[in-house]
Amino acid sequence: MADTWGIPGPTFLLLFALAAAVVLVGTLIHRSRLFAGPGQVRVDQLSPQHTAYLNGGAALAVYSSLTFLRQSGVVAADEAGRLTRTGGLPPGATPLDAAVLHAVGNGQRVKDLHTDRSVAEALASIGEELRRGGLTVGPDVVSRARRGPLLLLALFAVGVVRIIAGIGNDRPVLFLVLLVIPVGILGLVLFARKPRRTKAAESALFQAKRHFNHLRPASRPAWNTYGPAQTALAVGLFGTAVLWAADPAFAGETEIPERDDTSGAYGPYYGGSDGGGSSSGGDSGGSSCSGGSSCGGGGGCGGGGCGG
Amino acid sequence: MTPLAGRGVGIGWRPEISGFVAELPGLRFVEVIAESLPHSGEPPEALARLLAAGVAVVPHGVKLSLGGAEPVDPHRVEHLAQAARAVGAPLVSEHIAYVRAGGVEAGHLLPLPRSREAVDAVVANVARTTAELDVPLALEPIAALFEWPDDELTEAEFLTEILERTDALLLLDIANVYANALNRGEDPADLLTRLPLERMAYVHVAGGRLHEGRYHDTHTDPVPGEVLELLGELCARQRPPAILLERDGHYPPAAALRAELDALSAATGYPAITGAAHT
Repeated sequence: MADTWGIPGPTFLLLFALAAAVVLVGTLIHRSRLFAGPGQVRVDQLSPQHTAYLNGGAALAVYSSLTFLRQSGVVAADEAGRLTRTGGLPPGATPLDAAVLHAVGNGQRVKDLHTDRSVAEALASIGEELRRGGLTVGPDVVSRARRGPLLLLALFAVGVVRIIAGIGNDRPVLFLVLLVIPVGILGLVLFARKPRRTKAAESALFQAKRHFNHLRPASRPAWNTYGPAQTALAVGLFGTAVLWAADPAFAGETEIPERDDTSGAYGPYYGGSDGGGSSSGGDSGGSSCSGGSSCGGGGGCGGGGCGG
Repeated sequence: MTPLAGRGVGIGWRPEISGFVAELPGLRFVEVIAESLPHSGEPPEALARLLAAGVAVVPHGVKLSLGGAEPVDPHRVEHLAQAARAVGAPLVSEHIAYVRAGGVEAGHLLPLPRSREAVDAVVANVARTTAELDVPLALEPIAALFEWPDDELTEAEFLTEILERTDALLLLDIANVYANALNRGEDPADLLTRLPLERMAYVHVAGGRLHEGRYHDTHTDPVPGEVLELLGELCARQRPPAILLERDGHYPPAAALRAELDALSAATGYPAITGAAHT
């Protein structure tokens, strides 16, 4: 009986395994470079809202801004939970603060703030700045990072075709099946996985949480002493639990969800291209598939299953 | 040479304001509540960073109950000694007061009757304490909002006798001196002349407020101008080696806290620790 496609089973299996190993290693190296981010990032050089956006997405940036405005005494809440503006833009305010304060003046509720056009624009530009600074992973980087996984999926397709051809040719295919399945799974997993933050941003956030450890709600920080900007930063780093600690009446009236030390999605209504969703830390590792199957040389390939 | 010589103006380190304290460029000493330090191992990271920067840390006990009729709890003494070792303290301090009696915790520092018997009890407890300490002990008299009916000694006599018999240093709370004098209708400067000022290790300055005609040493209000004036008068007689701002709650904005520290510098002639230009 002739070899399928004129290639003997063991030879095909070996070539397939080698190709898969090369593509996988190349993919992992490529992705780790793509997701590394810039060499040196210091979160303390970012604004509280950039930090908040980086840590918890657009929603946390809005809460951070609201905290700044509230601690500056220019925002209040009525009994119905509606925000009211009680003062002008405080010194040190950012474009997002200005937009949020404007939206507050229009009688927005907290949960609708992000729908305000100028708030959305300010958020988008923060998101864009983080992407440009190499702190978050943009869509262009994601599509480049998917080239490797696509190659793995192509290999998987070739393997599947060979298996079908092998079966039609009445050749054993078990070993090839065992090799093709993990290649397909790895291809899919790597294709789907996209970290929200670069490695550089992860480590900068970690450093910042350590550096600003005194702003954790657990130390019962004197928010009055640290002032509006540091309190807003604390929200960015440690979540809205900070605002609940600093101003429980306001947080309660405006129904701000209480989250401590958030690092991921912040509620269903903030989607966006990179807002919510999961934020798996990094993309290294993968499986320990090293390619070598037990189908070389002698005995293994007789009556059992081999490469089609 | 007293243990805190030349350390100038310091501030009570509290977790709530540790980020503020860490940013004071000229800081050379802090005080930390001894009971808040861990029983063993390293001090909290924020304190360790201050120590690494050469800031002296003085454990300040609040629960030893040196004035109690019963002997001090050896475990508490041991903890104080350990705390001092853990932060390499140049000295430790405690109050001349009692916080428990007959096993009941008062939850406050309570004043002693100024009797010979009370002096004996304090002296015995201080001796039990210093036996375990590697560093000097400074004793702080507390504010007395009321007088015991059978006081045999004046406040100055009471204090002087305890310090002489124990060889302890004095931690003078200038706001207390002000409060006691005001509440008794005396001249606070008068009391200063009768205190053993040469034994001063450092001075506490805290805020307070008048409430229904009595001055309350709250530690949660601004330092009144009268207390700063009294501090100036103290310095004119004998400048203390170091001054500590005690603030225990209702922390004001950083600028206000810095202004209080600068006011202490101005009143005592020590360098400003906030980075403000010296005036």
